Amino acid sequence: MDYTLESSSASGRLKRRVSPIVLRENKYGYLFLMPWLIGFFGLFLGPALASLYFSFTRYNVLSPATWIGPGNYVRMFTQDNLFYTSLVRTLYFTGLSVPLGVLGSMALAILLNMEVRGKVLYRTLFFMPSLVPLVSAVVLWLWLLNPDWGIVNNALRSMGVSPPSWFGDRRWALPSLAMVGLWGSVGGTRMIIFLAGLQGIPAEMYDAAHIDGAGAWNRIRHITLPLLSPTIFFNTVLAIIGSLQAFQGAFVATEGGPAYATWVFGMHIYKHAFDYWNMGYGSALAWFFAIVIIALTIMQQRLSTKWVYYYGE
Amino acid sequence: MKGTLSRRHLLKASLFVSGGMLAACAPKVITETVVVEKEVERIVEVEVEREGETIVVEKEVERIVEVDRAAERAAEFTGTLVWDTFRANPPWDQDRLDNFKNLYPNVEVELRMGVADQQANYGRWYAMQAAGDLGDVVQFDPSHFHFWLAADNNIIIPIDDLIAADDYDITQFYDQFFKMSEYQGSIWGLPSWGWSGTDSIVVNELVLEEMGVTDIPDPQDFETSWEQIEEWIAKAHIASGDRVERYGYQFAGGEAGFTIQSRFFGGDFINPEGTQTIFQDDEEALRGLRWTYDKVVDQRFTPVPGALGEGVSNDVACAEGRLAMYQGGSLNAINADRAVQDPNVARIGVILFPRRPDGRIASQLRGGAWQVSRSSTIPQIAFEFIKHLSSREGIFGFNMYGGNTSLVRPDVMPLLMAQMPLYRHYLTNLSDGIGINAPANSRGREFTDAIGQNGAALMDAISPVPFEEGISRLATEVQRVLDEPPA
Amino acid sequence: MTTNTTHLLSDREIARIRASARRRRNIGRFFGYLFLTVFGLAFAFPLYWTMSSSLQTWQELRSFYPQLLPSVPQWTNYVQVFTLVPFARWMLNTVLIIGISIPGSLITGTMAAYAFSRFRFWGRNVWFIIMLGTMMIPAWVTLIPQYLLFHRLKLINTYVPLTIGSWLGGGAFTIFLLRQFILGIPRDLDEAAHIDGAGPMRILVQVIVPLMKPALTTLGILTFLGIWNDFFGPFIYLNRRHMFTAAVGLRFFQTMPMEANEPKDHLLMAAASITTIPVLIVFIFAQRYFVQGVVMSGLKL
Repeated sequence: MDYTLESSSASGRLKRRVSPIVLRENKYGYLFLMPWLIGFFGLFLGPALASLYFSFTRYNVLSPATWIGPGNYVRMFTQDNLFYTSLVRTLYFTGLSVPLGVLGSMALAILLNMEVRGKVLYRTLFFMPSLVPLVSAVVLWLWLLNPDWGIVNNALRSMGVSPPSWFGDRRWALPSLAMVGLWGSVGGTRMIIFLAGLQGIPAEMYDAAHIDGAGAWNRIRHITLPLLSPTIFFNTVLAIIGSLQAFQGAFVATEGGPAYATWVFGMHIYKHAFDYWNMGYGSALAWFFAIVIIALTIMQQRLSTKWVYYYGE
Repeated sequence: MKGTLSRRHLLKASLFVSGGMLAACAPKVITETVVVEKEVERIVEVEVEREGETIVVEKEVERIVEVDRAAERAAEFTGTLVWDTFRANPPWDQDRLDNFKNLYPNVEVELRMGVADQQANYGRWYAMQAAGDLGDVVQFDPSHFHFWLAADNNIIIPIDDLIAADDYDITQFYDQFFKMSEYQGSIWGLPSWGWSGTDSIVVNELVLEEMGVTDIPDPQDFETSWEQIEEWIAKAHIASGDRVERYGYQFAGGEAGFTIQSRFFGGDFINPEGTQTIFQDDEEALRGLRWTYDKVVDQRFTPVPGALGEGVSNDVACAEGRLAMYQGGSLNAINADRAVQDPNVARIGVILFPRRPDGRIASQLRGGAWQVSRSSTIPQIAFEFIKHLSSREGIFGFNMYGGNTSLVRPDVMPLLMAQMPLYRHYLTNLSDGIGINAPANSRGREFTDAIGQNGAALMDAISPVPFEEGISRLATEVQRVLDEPPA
Repeated sequence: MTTNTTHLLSDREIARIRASARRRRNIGRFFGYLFLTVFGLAFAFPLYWTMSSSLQTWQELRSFYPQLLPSVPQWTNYVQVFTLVPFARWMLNTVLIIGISIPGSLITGTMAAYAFSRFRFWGRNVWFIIMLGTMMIPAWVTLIPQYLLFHRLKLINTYVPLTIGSWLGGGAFTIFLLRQFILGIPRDLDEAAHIDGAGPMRILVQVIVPLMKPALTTLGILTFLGIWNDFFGPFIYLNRRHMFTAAVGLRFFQTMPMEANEPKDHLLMAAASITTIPVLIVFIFAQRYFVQGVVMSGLKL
């Protein structure tokens, strides 16, 4: 993740006698980093270590925590059947929303990047859903996806398709949720970041391709995609982190239901930590999940060397 | 910790200082007493008497007998009271504050409120409790299963002594709602909101008439039979292809709904001790759940979740003629009645559940309570304040302009019935209803979720599971919660 | 390399290629516009819907047959939002929090980014990875310990818990974005200033920051959006009514729980309109800089 750092072995080059330059680099480096370091130690590390400690205790916030060793972690794998359920739901949700979300944002950005009139207008329109508070967005979609008379199902029926009950159907609730999430995010910051990536691709490359007779698809495939790969990677990593942790939609729209259909992992953590007051167990779940996310991110970083192409490096 | 200590010191100091001013305040107290009387007279109350079918309405001005005693005592109370509540119920809460100020001029009450989502507020309160910042008057509601947790964890105090010292008349509440705050042999609060749960079938009477049912049963007789209700549901349901013109029936889901269904014919969901699920082995309980399962899964008379529309409750759907009958209680009937926009489409009525063989009516009372926190340094003032909230006037206002439903006092019922005649159907259930069996380990929230989610699987009409399988899953998962160590 | 091939083609061939490319481009553009318009309208619909329902009665709003237009516009809904609760005050509170936070995250975020991109201090890469790692720990974990910490510092019911993070780096994403941006600024500029005798502080203020305007604007907007819609922070840390923020106030109008009897959905929608419109205006005016800021930071991982 730190490939653009100029030197990854600054410490390795430290000589036994500390030179004035090294001293200066350290002095100013830490000086400028100081506000963040204070925040990290004061606001993050303390609470994070506290929760790591809680994850080895039984703790309901109201009485003092009692140490139970790795019991919470054992319980997670052996006694909590919702643990696996929610993991599967989360992976399913991520599998649906990340590819579609990243591809969708990219497609919109590519379209907007053509020389279109009213670019500003379209950009504003696409961005709008991400400005709408989640609660209103969910209410809107529950209305559009109403099984009986919603606009979507009416359209499907008129096409001769027998429509699903969306949020009311165990099999469709999670895809419905992913759809709402996509609608809210596909034209948001992610699309802007793609636009930025596209604008960083030199125009000459396209001109040359035109002259070579390359069609739109070939241009996208051989020029846009490789040159955009760092942006795709960046957005994918962020999208995965985001969708693994996402649960507010499930919380507002379906409260994890029907019949646990939208009981994603974030929901499971929230329920234990802030509804059931199993703060110890909730912390253990959260720490397990943090490790999963970090591992996934590192894995993506490893894989990225195979397909991410840094232009000019 | 230090924070609380120093605040208490400050409070003591201020008490000491203001103590000297008490004498000077005494004459003022007497003038305040006059204001109290005015306050009460301002409400023109309406009494209702029922004689057969006629309702006699007469106006009456209430007098307060104990004005002098209250004024004497009021002068003794000094301090600052912090009132933590879920959400603003304007103008009721402000009115209560003003009114209390008139009664107890030396007490400052600070209202701290959360917003809409009640469950999220409980979370915040636990955090505040952990930090030592919870107010004097709080509300950990029995029906949200937070009461037992709050009692177990020393957040609230028993108020038996305060009740005894005050000679407070506890018969002014319906017994069941008062007893809802009973735990470990003590009373921990006074009723706030409350109703008798989804203990009836709310019906669009025009649909019954359309089907030729002219002698709509008198709801107070409990004379209708389950077979009769089933027949009406089947007739009322109108569908063509996969489009439903009018749904015949909707059940009440969740912990309260399933508990009441298991009580339809005399069974119950869990044992009174709150340690075992009993419905899976109880023939009567299974019969009740099966009755619902038939309507929902086998006969598909019921809209799937969300089919009525986002935010469109059963009440509104019934008022719009889209839902003929549903398992609902007093609150639903009133809301449905309010939602009727076209009297040619719906007229809201109530069919009470047939009496069980043991003579009782299936219900599970729902209610909340005002409590005094353990951290309060002025429990007596806090008690005075919750009495003030749960008084006849307080409860009446809570209903009329607080946006809540509170049927916890027999003496407000005539007033409410004058506004909403439908309330009269529930009088018997309010006095004789069945209470809540709470999990003994105080894991009410997990309990609620386990029933809600696995119950939804049981009653899933889209991808149905066999009744026995759904029941056994529900029983296993709920028992798993009951077997957990205490919260 | 490819540009050399042009010499091998005659003028006529070039004209033919250009024409066919143009034709293809026109067809593509037609579908492009169609697609953009359909999507644009679909995406704009929520705002229309929110505003339309903010002018309806709750009966209309909850009715079985949804109304696209209010039968009689209920302007009083808007009046009620401001009279029923101190909504104007709440909006001002949000503006105050934003006013405190934005400078904080821009200043301290730039400092941290400057450190990460320009100084080879000991453990820099480790710190950088740790910083990115803070994004991956679910926020729920640290919430209660943080609450207790702020309580011990007697900072509950102040805006400190809501703003202090901005003054301590402003979060991993901020620092990461700014670092990428600074990496894109040629080091020659620093070195020239250094030779002129400028210290690191002066280089930052006089050379780097003036070039960072687009990135800083972008982060300003993102910070604005984040705080404007943040519900949970204010909800947890504030319990005095007069200190609430607009996002918390919005929840006030959210569907009442089961035991309440008067829905306030129509007021929720009015309040949602009131809170969405300022954000929309900010976005419309600032979006040019917004895109520019992201473009120039050249986000790479």
